[in-house]
Order: sequence, then C-alpha cells, then structure tokens
Amino acid sequence: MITLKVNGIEVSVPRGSTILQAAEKAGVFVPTLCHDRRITPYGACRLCVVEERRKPGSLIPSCFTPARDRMEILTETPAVLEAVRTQLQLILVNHPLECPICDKAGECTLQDLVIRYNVTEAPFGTEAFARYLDRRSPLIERDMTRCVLCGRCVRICGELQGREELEFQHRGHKMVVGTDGGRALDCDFCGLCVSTCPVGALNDKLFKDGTRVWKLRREPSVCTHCGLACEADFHLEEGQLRRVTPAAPTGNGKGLLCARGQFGWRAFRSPSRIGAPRIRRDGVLHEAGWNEAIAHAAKALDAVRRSHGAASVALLTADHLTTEEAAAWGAFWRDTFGGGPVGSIQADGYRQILETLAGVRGARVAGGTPRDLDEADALVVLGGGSAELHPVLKPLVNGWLRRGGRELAVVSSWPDALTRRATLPLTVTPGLVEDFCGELLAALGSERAGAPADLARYGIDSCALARLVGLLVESRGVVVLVAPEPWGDNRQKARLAAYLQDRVRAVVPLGGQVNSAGAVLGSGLVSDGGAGNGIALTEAIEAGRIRALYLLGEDPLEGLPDPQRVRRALERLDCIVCQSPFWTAVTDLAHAVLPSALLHEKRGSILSLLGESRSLRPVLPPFGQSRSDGEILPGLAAALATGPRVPSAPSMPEPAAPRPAATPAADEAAMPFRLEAVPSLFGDGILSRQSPDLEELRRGLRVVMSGEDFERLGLAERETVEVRTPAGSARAEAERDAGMLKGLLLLRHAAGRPAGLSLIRQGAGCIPADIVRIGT
Amino acid sequence: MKSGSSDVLKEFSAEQVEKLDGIIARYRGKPGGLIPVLEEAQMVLDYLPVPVQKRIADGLNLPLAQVYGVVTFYSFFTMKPRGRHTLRVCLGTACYVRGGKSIAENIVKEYKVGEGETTPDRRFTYETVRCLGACGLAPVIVVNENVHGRVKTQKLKSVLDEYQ
Ligand code: SF4
Ligand code: SF4
Ligand code: SF4
Ligand code: FES
Ligand code: FES
Repeated sequence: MITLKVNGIEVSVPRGSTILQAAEKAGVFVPTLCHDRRITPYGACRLCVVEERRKPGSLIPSCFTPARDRMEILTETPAVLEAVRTQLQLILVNHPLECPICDKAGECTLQDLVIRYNVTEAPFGTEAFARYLDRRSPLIERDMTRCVLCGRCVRICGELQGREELEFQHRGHKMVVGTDGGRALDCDFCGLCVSTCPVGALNDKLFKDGTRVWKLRREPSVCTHCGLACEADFHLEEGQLRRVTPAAPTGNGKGLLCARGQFGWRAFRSPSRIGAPRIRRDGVLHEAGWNEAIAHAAKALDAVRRSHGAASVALLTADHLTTEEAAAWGAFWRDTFGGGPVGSIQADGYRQILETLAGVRGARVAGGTPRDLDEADALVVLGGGSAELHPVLKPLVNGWLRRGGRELAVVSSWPDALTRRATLPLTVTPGLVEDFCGELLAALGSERAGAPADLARYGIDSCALARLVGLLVESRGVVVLVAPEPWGDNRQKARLAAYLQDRVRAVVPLGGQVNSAGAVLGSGLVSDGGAGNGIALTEAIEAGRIRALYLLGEDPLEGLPDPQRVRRALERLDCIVCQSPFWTAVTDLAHAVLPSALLHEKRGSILSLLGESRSLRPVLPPFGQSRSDGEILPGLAAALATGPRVPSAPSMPEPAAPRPAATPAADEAAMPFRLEAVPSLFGDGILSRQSPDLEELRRGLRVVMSGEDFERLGLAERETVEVRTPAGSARAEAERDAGMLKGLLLLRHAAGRPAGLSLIRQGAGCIPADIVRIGT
Repeated sequence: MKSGSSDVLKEFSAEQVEKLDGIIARYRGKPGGLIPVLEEAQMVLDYLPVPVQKRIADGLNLPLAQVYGVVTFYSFFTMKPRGRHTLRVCLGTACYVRGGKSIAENIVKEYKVGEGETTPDRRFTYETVRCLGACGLAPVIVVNENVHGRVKTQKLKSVLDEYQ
C-alpha cells in the first residue's frame, strides 16, 4: 500500500493504482471522458489532468499515471481548470450541439462536463464535420457525427468482448470509428459499446426516440436469460420497461451483459404472454377463472393418480422458479402429491452434471464463485459452447486472460468463442468429446497420469494433451468449467467433473437456466428420475409408465429432438397441465393452462451458477391475471391434499446410451458430413425465443461449415441449403467459418424450430449429414 | 464471416492470388508484418479491396477491422483500382486564378471522374494538389511524372490524348 494526499485528503491505495483510483477513493471528483474502469486506460481526452503540489504547472493525466507514495495531488488548481475548459472547448469544435434531439442528453458525460465546468463560449467555433450515420445495423445505431473519438467502444469490443468489430479508420479530421468497409454491424450485439459510449454516438435502437432519460426510474434487477443471472438495471417509465443496461461496474459487479440481457427484454411482454387461465372442455380451450382452472387441473391429475398412481405423473421445469418456490413445489411434489419423475429439458445437461457433483442428493456442492474464476491460474473448459451458453463468460474470461500468465485450455470439437482465445485449444474429433472425457478420467484415475490410449481417434496432439493432463494434476489453481452438449450425453463429463471436484480449485457446471442452481441446491425440484432426458421421457410415455405431465414453463415439443414422435407421445397422455408465462407449441395440447408470472414480476431469491445469491423484487407489474408459481401452488396443493397414496416408483430406467451403429445404414454411409447441434449466442431457451429482437439476430436455422467445404460446394453467402440427416431434412442458411474442421457442420437455432429438431437425435452428439443445394 | 472472399477475388488472376498467399505466408506469425504485407500486396494487386484485406486478416490471424483501419489510415494504400495514369491538377492559388479551376471542372465533366477517383476505363486516376511550386507555369497539370504548364482548357484533350 502507498499513501498519498488528494486535495489534502489522505488515502492509501495498493501499489500500482492510478492517481484517478486514489482520487476516487478519496471521494474527489476528476473529470474523465475516455476512461471506463472495465477497460485499460487510454489517455485520449486529457480531461483527467491533475497537478502535483511540488511540481506546479506540469499537468498529469490521472487515469493512467500510477500514484506514488507521498504524492500530493491537486485537482482544481487554476491551471487544471483552464486545461479542462480548453480541452472541452476543443472537443466541442467537432461535436454538434443537438442535445434536444439526442437520446443521451441527461446522461451524457460531455454535456455534464460542459455544464460543470461552465463552458459557455466556443472560441474555436462549432463546425461539426458530418460523418456517417449507420441506421442499417440491428439494435445499434451509430451516429459518428457525435463521436468524440474516445476509443472506448473500440477497446471494450476488442479487449473484453474479444470481437474487434470496431476500429479507428482514416486520419485527422476524417477519423471515425467503424467496421471494415463500412458494413452494418454483424457481431455479438453484446451492447457493451453502447453502454460505454460517453456521448450519443452509439445508441440502443430499442430505446431511441422513445422518451427522455430523466423520465426513467432505475431499478436494480437481474437478467433471467441464463444461469449467470447477470446484474442489470431496468429503466422504467410509469411502470413500462424502456430499456435494460448493465449494472454499474462497482463492487463485485463487472458491469457486463450480453445481447440477451441488453436487448432481450421485449420477451417479457411478448404477444405470446398468457393473460388468463384456460381449461379444455369438449376439446377446446376456454377462458376460466383461477379457481375453476385449478379445480379442473386438480381433477384431471387426481383421476390419473387414482387410475395409475401419482408416480405416473412427471414434472418438467424450466427452472424459472425462485428458490423458495422451487422448495415449495418440490415438497408438494414429493410429499403431498407423491408425483413421479422430475426434470428440466432446457437445463438437462446442467442438472445432470450438478447432480452428479452433488452425489448424494441435496448435498452442498462447493462450486465456483466469481472470485474463484478471477483468481484462477488456469481455466480448463470441458466441452464446446461455454461462452455461447453464457455469453458474459466471454468478457469475463477475456478480462481474466488480459492479466497475463494464464492458461486457458478448451476441449471442444468446434471453434467456439473460448477456443478462439485459448492458450491451449484441444480440438477433439466431432462427436467424441464425451468419450474423450471418459478416457481422460480413466487416465487420471489410474494415477499413471498417462495419456488416453488411442490418441489418433481424438485428433489431439500429444503435447497438448500432456499439457492438459499436467494442468489437471497440478491443479490447485485450476478452475474447471463443464459445458454440456445440447441434447447430448453428458455422463462422462459429469463423472470426470465429480472426480476433479476435490482436486481442483472449483468445478462449475454450465448450461443452467436462470435458477437451476437454486432449484437443485436448495433441495427443491431435484431431477428425480431424469425426466428431462427426451428419450427416456418419450419412451416412458410410449410404454404407458408416464400418463400425465405437469409443465412448469417447459415445452417438450419445442425442446426435444424428433418433434413428430414427441407429439404422438404427448397426444397419448391423459392430462397435460401447462403452467407457463407463454403460449408455446405444447399449450395447444394442454388440459389446463395456468398463466404464471415471470421472475421480474415476483419476489424471492435465485442462485446464479457462480453461487451468487440474488434477491428479486417485482420490477414489472403483473401481466393480466397471471400469478406467480408460488401463488398458484396453495390452491392446487389443497385440492390434491387428500387422495390415494400409491407407493411411488418415480425413477425411469436410463435409456441405453445411443452409440453410433457399428454398420451405418446405407444412407448414413453416403453422408459426407457430421452435424453437431450447438448453442446459440442469442439464447435457445423459451424466454430468449420470445424476444423478437433476438429472433431477428438468429436469422432462423443456420448451418455452419469450414471455408473449404463452403467453397467446394460453391455456395454463396447466406444461401439457403437443404440439410439432410438420417433423422430428417430441413432448410437452413449456410455460413462459413474459417476456423472449422473440414467435414463438420454446426447446427444453430434448432431449439423451438420443428425443422431443426427433426434433424438431430437425443444423446447422439454428432449425426451423419449431407448438404444439398436447392434446385439442383 | 463477413464477406465472401472467393467471388471478389476473381477480379485477380490466379497468379496474383498465389503471389498474395505467398506474401501472407512469409509474414505469418511475425509481429509487425501487416504493413509490409499490405505494401507488397498492393505492388502485386495494384489495390486492396476489402476481400483482399479479409484474406490478409485471416492469413495473419488479425481482426479485419484492424487491417481496414491501417489501410484507411495511410494514404499510400488504396482500396480502389488505380488508373494507368495519375492525373493531378494543381489548385494552388496561382493555378486556381489562372484557369486551374476550369481545367478541374472540365476533367470531371469530360472524363466522368470525381476527385480521388478513377475513370471507368481505368485510364486516369484523378487527384488535385495545392501548389507544386511551379506557379510561373500556372495553370499546371501533372500526368504521371510529366509536368505540363500553361495548359489551356481547349488544349487539355490533346495533352491527355498522349496518355492512353
Ligand atoms: S455490440 Fe459488442 S460485439 Fe458488437 S460492436 Fe458493440 S461491443 Fe463489439
Ligand atoms: S462512438 Fe462513442 S465510445 Fe466510440 S469512440 Fe466515439 S464517442 Fe467514444
Ligand atoms: S450471460 Fe446470461 S444472465 Fe448474463 S446477460 Fe447474458 S443471458 Fe443474461
Ligand atoms: S480520462 Fe484520462 S485521458 Fe481521458
Ligand atoms: S499554384 Fe499551381 S504550381 Fe503553385
């Protein structure tokens, strides 16, 4: 620690802190424009100048000058004030004064500073030079005439998001920030550039021209699009949500959101929200009052209970319940109703891994916290798609890597976002990540710390493998992230994770929905019997062991492969109760539809998958007659309190792991590609799919291949092609990715699209496939 | 992926593309290789459109945005094909008052080319300059390395006809 004085106030800061940080600690205001604590200082604006008492006249930019012991810093000397004023006047030469029509007015750093420093004259004239205005890009509008060239967007996009979409271009008075060739943005749409721009040059299109910032009330809340549950500020105007921004980067908060968090909020009021309960009478859904609807649902469930036992009713949860609600529902399901298997389709992989880690049901898992992630010397990521499942991992990991000397090992069969940043990328033959994890476990477990036997099979270089094994053996500073494969088999990964959890600093399962961790670790809705596994569930229904489904926001039709078979199975059921915020495909088959509230409309707590407990207050008003899952339960529980208790046998037999057949069928053998379904950056969950804005970014079903394959097939950018697999065929937009292995196809955005789901198989990992040009 | 490289690269001969790849390969993995690659690439290809930049970015494992930033920063690099001849008209004070302006207007009209652009037939790349230090000869035009003084608007065509 060093000690210095800022305007006479003594502060101690860690060595290496900047003068600006010391001033902040002393509570002294220093103007800044190009500085953002999330990124490295840059020194572009020179507004942060201060003087040292012993060296009058020499102005020091405080944002990047390290503080020294016993410095005496002055921030408001005449020389400093004059420099700041002149500097502001110079910035105004190239900045149009159009505050009345600028959405930033009221929260614009430049405006605030001009007022604070009383800059009333413009001795250098104000002749803003017209620069480009990009209105074509989705979600973000760029008005370069307002840009002050602080470089914050360039740095946040490059350093944190790792996307490097924006760069300085041209020179002198023509300099702008933009994309190559001036094209529209085609990036992660994390919105971090918008959140950092100090002026109105980068604008959130969902917010633009809608209101004025001073009419907004800011409510702290969280993003519910994935299990990271990032902190977010909700901005409301008379109860209406107008925009979402990252929470200020203070304390533990990192001030990060992804596209879903920043732009996915229109999902909360999607036209598919259910306003009132419905019940099925004479084959048609009719609106009903709550009491009637609950009685209707209870009666149907009771009938199944009487005829086949309550254990023949399965419960599927989207994990959007608060921890308290999950606990109450779990207790009801197990103790009052004696219901059958429990699971989650969307969080199946996560739950499988977490519950294996927990071992004994309900046991406390040490887990990994943001601090573990921060302080780790090495990260090992098992499985592809980690930062696609939880996009904020990308800036988190990039920030962590930037501190240097860190190892990032990623085991994946495709170049996902973290593989591209990895210091140790391990590209495994498509479809074999699971097997590789199994063999790695065997190698580690046998203490010979040797290498998995058949390396050639996995396509991994033996040096790289030795480094990975080295990391996992010398493992105190290692944090392991485990990314499940969507619809894949994750048992080997789970076993490897369980083995590692006592040996490394932390193991973090990924792929959880917003409160999957709370539901499982709070001993609420634990996956008894694994109802989330699509094959097991479908087979159990087909065999008549499952007669009814209780769906808490979940939808097997939109979330499981082979939708036709799933539909036929669901149509056999005696009863489906949909307790959901949204109309989805399955609500058409429901016997009762109970509109439930979103997390932002209720009170309670959730647990992020990094173990952070967050308490929620209702920030949005209730929608229609919807009720929270917690409010719905008492009526239902009362109606089902008495009934025959048939001894329950909730568990479903595990389906045999589908392995590639020894001799592939003729059509499979002729298929030159292997297709793997991968998670989408813009969210695959039901909530994310309700957002029209995220849906626009997804651009439908997409198939990605290597540049070589793309050129060999003679495809044009964004050409629609037909994808065929032994399971089905569908049309998708073709895309290329220079970093991909030849012969591999990635399928994006299958969830929620029957065409996409019909291409894949549960548990298969990879499936043979072919691409056919349409019209040939 | 941002732009389809293969289609637009068809503007260049297979030999040129091969040379480009060779240049990229020589500098791959070397820090500070971007500017020499761009310089050599421009020698071979004459200009550096975005698809070429994309190939360079992929080859050197750099973000395309950075390559584009460098290309636009240095006036030496050009993203448009240059003409066979460079035609500069002086618009310094002396030339301007003695007819440079009307020569400039005439060029724009007759050769259908804007300032800093190349004629559709790629015959001329037209630029303006401020004073060449030959005010005694005003108005002055320079074609490639050749200075032509006291150019009359009526005589312009015959001067330029020498350059095909
Ligand atoms: S939205 Fe994110 S990825 Fe896109 S340009 Fe901005 S910072 Fe970069
Ligand atoms: S767009 Fe905004 S953040 Fe980017 S350089 Fe300009 S003023 Fe700074
Ligand atoms: S990472 Fe997850 S919680 Fe965070 S903003 Fe994105 S979707 Fe929301
Ligand atoms: S804030 Fe220090 S130079 Fe801009
Ligand atoms: S003004 Fe044209 S040469 Fe000087």
